[in-house]
Amino acid sequence: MAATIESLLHRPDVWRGGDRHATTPTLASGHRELDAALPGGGWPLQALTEICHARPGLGELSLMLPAFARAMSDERWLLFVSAPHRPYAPALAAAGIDLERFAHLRCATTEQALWAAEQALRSGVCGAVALWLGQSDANALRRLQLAAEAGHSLAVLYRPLAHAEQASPAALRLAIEGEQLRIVKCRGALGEIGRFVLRRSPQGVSVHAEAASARVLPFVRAR
Amino acid sequence: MLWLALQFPRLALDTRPGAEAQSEPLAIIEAQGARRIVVTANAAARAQGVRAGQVLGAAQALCAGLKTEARRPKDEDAAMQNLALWALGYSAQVARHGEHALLVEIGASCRLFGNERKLLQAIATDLEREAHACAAGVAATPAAARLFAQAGIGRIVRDTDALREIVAPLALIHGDLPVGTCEALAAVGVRTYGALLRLPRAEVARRFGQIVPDHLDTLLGRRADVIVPMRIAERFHQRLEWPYAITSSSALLFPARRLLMAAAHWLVACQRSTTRLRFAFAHEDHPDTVIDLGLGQASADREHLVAVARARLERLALPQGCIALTLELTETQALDAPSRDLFVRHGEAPEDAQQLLDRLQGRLGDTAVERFAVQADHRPERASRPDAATTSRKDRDARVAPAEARIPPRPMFLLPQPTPIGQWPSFDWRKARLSLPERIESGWWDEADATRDYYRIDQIDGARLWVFRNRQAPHDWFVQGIYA
Repeated sequence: MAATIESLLHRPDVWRGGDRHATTPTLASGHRELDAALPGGGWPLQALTEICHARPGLGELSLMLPAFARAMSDERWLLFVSAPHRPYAPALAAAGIDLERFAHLRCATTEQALWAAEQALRSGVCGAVALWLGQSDANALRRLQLAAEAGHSLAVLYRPLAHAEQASPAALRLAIEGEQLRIVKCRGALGEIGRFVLRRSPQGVSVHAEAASARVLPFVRAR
Repeated sequence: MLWLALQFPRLALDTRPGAEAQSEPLAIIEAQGARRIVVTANAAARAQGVRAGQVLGAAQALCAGLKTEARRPKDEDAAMQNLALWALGYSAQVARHGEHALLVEIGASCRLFGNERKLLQAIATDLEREAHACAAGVAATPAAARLFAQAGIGRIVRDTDALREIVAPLALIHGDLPVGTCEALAAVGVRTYGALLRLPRAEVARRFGQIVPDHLDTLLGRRADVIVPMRIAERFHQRLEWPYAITSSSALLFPARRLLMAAAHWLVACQRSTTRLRFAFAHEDHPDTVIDLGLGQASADREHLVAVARARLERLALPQGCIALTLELTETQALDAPSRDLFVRHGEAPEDAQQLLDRLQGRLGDTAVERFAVQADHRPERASRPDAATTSRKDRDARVAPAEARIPPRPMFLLPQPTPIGQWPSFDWRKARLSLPERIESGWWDEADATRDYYRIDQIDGARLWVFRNRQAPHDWFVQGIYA
């Protein structure tokens, strides 16, 4: 019996609330205060990271760019799948992304986008895959999460903010609203802080823990 | 020299998918004069005693429900040609012999594989995958190899001196001598090579013709055998037909796969790789459906070709059932990699990025995969250039991104067309904060000159946009980018 429970606990989709260390490997986000809060000290690899944002232009991509650039080591690729607009090469190059190993896939339908992202994640060729989705069912997200587990890539899913309150199989879920960054869900115990402020800087964005006074309010806590 | 003879006794069945394994007894027959002879029979028919060489009447007496089909020499010839192409992947010297046999010189290739056992193992694995029934013989001379294949001798005989002893117990009818000569020899009690070799040479020649000592000489390596090396077609163009219409595109994958296998063999044999291929699906009364498949990088790897074709076929919509499929390699180029490399890699190496992109492009469409490069131009819309996925790596390396560290940060997304700010959803001037302007004045030498002031606008909801106004019309603001 004990052995069965032990083996269950080692499954990547089972996690315990008390753990501070992540069960999957992580990749430093490049934002010190955010890393301190995330289990394992960074974005999870082999798992889906979901970012719900109110609208494009909130810094949701800049937030990930340092990690994307780092994920491209070892000749690995970065793939954007059905981004809302055409990526702009000079900005990506300035963020340290090697355009040689970057591609954007335009997909006519959600099914195609999901298929392409799944293929990219499973191939092992990509260090990071970012996928933009509108409406999608839980089943599709589950497949995506499984594909992310199969590869060793940073898998990022961008969705509209309205989905932040719905259930999702993603291992890490963030919501960006205005200048606020909120950790909606993560595997293992969250650090002390679950809310951050995204500040625009010339290099992209910087992430700061929300001011201390806000933290002592009794009803503000991370979900 | 070490020769491998491969005989394909059931080729007539192998060219009909499913015929060998079906439960109904089936025999392929051929007219010889007035008689009809069984050429080959499937497993169900063989179980009831039907054998190759039987007269049809006898076969039908043995097996009541025997179905018969006539030979299709054209199909068999095409199959042999493909097998010969495949064999060229293993050796430079391949010849066809008779209707159903191949001769492959493997002496030179053995070293590449380590030893002949490993080479033969690789060949056997290939044949098993293609489900070809095959008998093989290996010997120092082509005639002996053929004899061994026919007689079922599994030894490898490298030494011509040892041949004499080994062929002695073998029956003459397994060799290359004409049937009439064998019968004449049998009439005087000579049925094996041993008995024939004991007879005086001059007398045998006088009674049975010069052909008999000549055959013995080529068999034992005392006389060179005439081997006509196989010739390769200049272009790859093959057609498969079937008697009924196929409507499902997943079922079409099987003939497509067979053609791609043949194409891959052809590519390896010619030391070429392909960048473009064309499938033509023939319909009964409708013009052919033609699809062109482009590969990002030249390939001769069959698994890769099949993967690309599969992705494309999955979203294929045919106007009606398909009765024949033609594959043509429309663009090929000389291969610079050594040919062995291609064979070893099947399915073992992980997919590389180019293969992934090809596969994605195959399914999503030719324009779906966008690649980018930075171009030295101050006009934002020209500083990023779509880079065709087909551009080879070497070309891209030649271009170096300009070192523009001092320019203000650029947005991650650029709109294809600047949008008037009034049309931008939920834009409110009263809640916007402007950065210092950046003036871009460029392009006066060509048609698209630009004299614009660019600003970053932070909105109250956190969104940051890249907007500009033309200096000629300072009141018209346009959104051109998004700082995502």
